[in-house]
Amino acid sequence: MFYMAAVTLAAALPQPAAAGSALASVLALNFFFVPPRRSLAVGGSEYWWILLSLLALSFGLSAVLGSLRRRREEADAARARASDLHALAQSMADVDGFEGMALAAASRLEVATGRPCAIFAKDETGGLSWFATQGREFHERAAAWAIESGRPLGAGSLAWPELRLWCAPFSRFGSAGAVQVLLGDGERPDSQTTEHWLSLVRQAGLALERERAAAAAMRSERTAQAEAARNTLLASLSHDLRTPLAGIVGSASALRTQAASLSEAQKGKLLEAIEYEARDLAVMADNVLQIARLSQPSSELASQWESIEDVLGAAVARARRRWPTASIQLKAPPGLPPLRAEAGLLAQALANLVDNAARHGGSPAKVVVQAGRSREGVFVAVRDFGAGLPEGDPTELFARWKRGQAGRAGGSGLGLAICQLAAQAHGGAVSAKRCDPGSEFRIDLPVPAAPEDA
Amino acid sequence: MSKPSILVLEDEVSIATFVCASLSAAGMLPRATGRAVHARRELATAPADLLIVDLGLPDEDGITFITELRKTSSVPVLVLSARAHESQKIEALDAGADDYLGKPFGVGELLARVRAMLRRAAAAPTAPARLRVGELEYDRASRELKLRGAAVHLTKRELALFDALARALGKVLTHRQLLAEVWGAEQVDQLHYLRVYMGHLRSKVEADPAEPRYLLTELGVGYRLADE
Repeated sequence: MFYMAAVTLAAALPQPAAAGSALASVLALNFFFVPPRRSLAVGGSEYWWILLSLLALSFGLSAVLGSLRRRREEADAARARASDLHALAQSMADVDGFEGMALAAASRLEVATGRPCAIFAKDETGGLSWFATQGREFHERAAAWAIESGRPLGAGSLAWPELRLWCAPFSRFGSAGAVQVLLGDGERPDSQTTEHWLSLVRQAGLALERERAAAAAMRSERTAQAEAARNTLLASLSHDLRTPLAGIVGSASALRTQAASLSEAQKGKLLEAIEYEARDLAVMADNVLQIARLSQPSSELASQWESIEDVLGAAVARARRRWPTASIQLKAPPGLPPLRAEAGLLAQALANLVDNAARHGGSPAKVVVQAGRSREGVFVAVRDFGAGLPEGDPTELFARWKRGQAGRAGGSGLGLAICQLAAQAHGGAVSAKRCDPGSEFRIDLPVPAAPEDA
Repeated sequence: MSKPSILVLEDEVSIATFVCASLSAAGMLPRATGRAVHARRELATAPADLLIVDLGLPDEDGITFITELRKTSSVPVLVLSARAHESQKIEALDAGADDYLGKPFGVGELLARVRAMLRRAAAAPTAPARLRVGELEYDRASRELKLRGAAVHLTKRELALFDALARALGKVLTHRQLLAEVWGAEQVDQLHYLRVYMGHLRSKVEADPAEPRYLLTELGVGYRLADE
């Protein structure tokens, strides 16, 4: 009984204490139970054998149990380290953008190391910026050295062990950043701990570098797209400019060289054509300006509170001046809510829709412009009663600078592209559908909650 | 009445040429200069009845020119604005310009604006006590508005808004000017107030508020009361 308790105690104790306890229990057994009792003398050789084998047995048992315990501790530590790594990956995956990820990593590393941490990252210009959840004194020069040399430094490492921090680069070569852990006075993390920290740093670094590479790839793709759009714009422009210019040059030269033989009515017609074509060019210039502006990834609207009736009224008035023979009806119920919009741009987009409808709406053209409330805000629908949409998918019509149909009554084809860009810039959408007869184009715009009334 | 003298401050020769040609064909006396400094010298020696000012001057900001001018003179100013100076035309109106024309413009539009401005300048310096526009009748003293002889009931704010536009009859008032007048100087950015009240006012005055006949929209700039 007594011996068993002692051995069990030995198993629960660390190695040297376990050995001591085993020895003590055998001595006690000898003292109390082996004749002559109450003395450490041993009465016969058979007792010697029993005592020695009991001692060996208890040593062996405690060694086996000790190693089992060590292994369990190692497994626990490994599990804790794995869960640190997992938590780090998880928290970085949950946020968007480099800065968010860097901050998430810093805060996760703080939990894992139990100390203030900062992520240092190189920016595009080669300078270092750092991300941390608390504004502590982090050392930029230490981070720069770690990144430069590709090696950890500070307490617990070979370089500058006297520093009160530990700093390691994301990777050994060409690292994009480093992690810095602030330590207490005289603290020296052991090699196992720093190894674990290093694997956390590697993982955070990998994720951050991947994020940065993805952002760079997206940027260059966007640049390429903008470039392609610009080229299409230029090609389409030079084509679209030629038509009205040819008319203007022709009419003007006829007036100059043949003035004597032209009747007053003919002269009037030629002059009218010049003015008409030139005004078309002006509209086209506005359209091109807006496309160029809205195609910029960073373009911003000068939005203010506008009433859709005002904007629509201006757009319809413009189309009526352009198409005096067309019947353009405007229907807007009273009490439509004000919306946030850039009036000039929105009017231009709507004028393009009305202009298209008047152009393709038969002869004489009939166009109905209807404004109204929708679930998300307001809509404007422009209905014509002409030949209808060309074959194929109506959404294709909005692809930039595509003409609706070869041989239709002119028009630059830029108009619908601007409608789409403008609607999107206002947080809305455009759509087109076939009607019988004709077609309907519709712009949907969101209406934010208006501030309190005056 | 003698021929009105008009100073055209425009540095683009083709535009200055056609503006001067059409003004003199319409019986006015135009002179043109492309520099703000010259214009100031011209005005010092021979005053003009009206100024036409392009906002894209090479030697000076058009707005600075108008602000300077307004310190000493109330001569009517018509601003010409190209697309690139879109936001500047509002600043110019706030700085004291009387009206604007966006480029490109036709002779018809130009002459209509110039004539209306000269007419307003020639009229009494204070707005008339009673005015009649189409089927609208407004008595400033009693603050009564009648449409086809029937009284239109307006709230205090609607009346203040209408009164501001009536005093400027035919002249565009910017959003800021209207907001300052009706709601006070600290409310000049509360554009939605103006939108809402203009909607109310139109629904009481206009036959079709979507296509107003009296209370006209100057898109992105302001409003004006039609001067028929």
